[in-house]
Amino acid sequence: MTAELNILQETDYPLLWSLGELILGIDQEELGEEFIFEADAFISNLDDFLIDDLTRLLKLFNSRFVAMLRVMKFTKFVDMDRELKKEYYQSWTNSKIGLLRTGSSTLRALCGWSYYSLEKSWDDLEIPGKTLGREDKTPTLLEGREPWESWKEGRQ
Amino acid sequence: MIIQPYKLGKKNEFSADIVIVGSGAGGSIAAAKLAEQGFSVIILEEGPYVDKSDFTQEENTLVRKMYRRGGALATDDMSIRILQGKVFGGSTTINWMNSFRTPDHVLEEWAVDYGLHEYLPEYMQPHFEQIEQRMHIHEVPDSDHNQQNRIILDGAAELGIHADSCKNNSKNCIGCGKCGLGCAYDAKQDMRLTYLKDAQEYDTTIYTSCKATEIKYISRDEQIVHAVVQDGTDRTLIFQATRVIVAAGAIMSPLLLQQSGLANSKIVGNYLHLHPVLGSVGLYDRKIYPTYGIPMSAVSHELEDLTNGYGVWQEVPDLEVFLAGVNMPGTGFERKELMKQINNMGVILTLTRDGCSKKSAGSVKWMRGLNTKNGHFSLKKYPSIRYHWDPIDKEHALKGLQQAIELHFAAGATEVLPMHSKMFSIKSKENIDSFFNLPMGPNQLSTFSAHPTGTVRMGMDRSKSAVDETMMLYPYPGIYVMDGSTLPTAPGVNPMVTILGSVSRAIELGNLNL
Repeated sequence: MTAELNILQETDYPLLWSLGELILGIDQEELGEEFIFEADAFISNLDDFLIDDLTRLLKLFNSRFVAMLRVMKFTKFVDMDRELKKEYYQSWTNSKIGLLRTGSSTLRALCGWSYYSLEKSWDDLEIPGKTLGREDKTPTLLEGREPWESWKEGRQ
Repeated sequence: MIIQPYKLGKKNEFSADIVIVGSGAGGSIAAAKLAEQGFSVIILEEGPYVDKSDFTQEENTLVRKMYRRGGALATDDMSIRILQGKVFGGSTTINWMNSFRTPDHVLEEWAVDYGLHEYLPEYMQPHFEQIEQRMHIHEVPDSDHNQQNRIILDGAAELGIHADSCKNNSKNCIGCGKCGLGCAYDAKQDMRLTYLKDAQEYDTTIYTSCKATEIKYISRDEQIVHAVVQDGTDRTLIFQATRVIVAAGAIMSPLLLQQSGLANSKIVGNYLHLHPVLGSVGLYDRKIYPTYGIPMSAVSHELEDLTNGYGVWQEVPDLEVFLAGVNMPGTGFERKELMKQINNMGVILTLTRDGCSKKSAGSVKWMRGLNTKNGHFSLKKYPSIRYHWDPIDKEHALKGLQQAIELHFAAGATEVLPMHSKMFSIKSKENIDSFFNLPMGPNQLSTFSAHPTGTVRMGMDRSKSAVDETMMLYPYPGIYVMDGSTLPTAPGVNPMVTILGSVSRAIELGNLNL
């Protein structure tokens, strides 16, 4: 990647990938650097006060101290094993403390946006693609085609 | 004439009879009607100029470019995500085209509760007719419903409940299903192609990427608007006018009035209505392709009157992939597998007409200090959006969600998953009740909105309203507010035509006292 990050730093990569893997079920390789850059662009677009909040949330979520309070392990989120990561995230999602659920929702939105707004995710989902210039190959109102089949043929 | 930042000369001060803040539904129709009468009009639009060539169907770039906060607008506690346009044409550029008139019972409620007898159905009808003609609003023909809308039509037929085709503002729509990204085919007859076009024909000048930051009320016939160019230079422009119309929508209009010291009434910023939306995902053993086709072409109004004209209605979305990606229930592998079934998925949206109890459930305000909803702390002012479900509205919404699940099964779904932080699969209609045992608090039951209204509400009683029936801001005779914020109640239908109709009527009534 030649582009530069605006808000996130290279040291944030492991955290973002771990979150993506946990929340979306998509491994780091598949998420790729594009996922990080999209997350960065998403955060950059927020109002300044929310940028501060979101970067603080990422730090808090990865903090050993918060983990100690939630799951009794003095371990950073990125260093937890898969099961503990899940338990820790669920402890935020299912918490009776509204602020923690707000944090969990924010992370879910960040990850969901940063992968599924990318066109590369469409391949995995077998989405027939953009309609522009390929109106007859997609499920539009133009009749006389088998959209799914035409799309697959078009890609072979 | 459109002035984009790169076209700005050295001049920093401008004047016109009327300066309008916002180019959405309210600002556009006001501009067209006033410019036609010969008044000089300037529109200030915070978002960028866009036309057909910009609408490349790329979700990430277009949502970032055209939505407020890049699509991440939400209540402080993130429990309700709000989709709102910040672009030339406002939310009409990115909406899903649904074009209902305001129901008669809502207009009658406005007359009884807010003294707005001038908005009774007989007075509004000619305005709706003109708007429908100008925007090519017509009923979607039966042949054009996509599979997702068929879920509502077929499911309702099976259950023996109401469902019907909707009207929308399109011409030669091919059903690409990308309305939320701007119409690449110029089929959607949004403000850019209708009232903003008309306004320009009568010499209206539109400054895009130009954010109004303050309005100074000097006297009845002299107002000044400060605006900052959104091109990274922070250059300030000054506009002088006889009248100012604030039409920045129900989130930004109250913030601008408060920032300008013009929010004398406690009403400004309160009584936020959102038409909160709950979602349910049905999985089908046939292709649905929810990311294609005309969105919201069918509706069920069966539960629209659960208490005193308040209730819910069912529609289906333009399911952009990012919307599915952000809002699907569950986590991890099971979530990934659910997303993989997107082509066999149908989503029903249950929209609630909120405000049944008449209490203020939400607010939009500037804050300082600690925000207990999101933990934010700052000594500098920051905008805060709060919303608490009223218990009656919530009860209506959950009844509606139950009906949506029944519609899915009646239309042949093999499994239904309501949008909730927990993935909960309902395998048969006999099993629906079990879902409702889950916790349904903020950030548990997923909730969305695309219809913020009501924060500068209209009415004849100054103690209960912020603007009068001509939409003049109490007590500032040179300042008007003309957008969704002035609706005294949630309209109970997708609000575009209600906003257009009410602004059109307000101008007919008062003509800004010019």
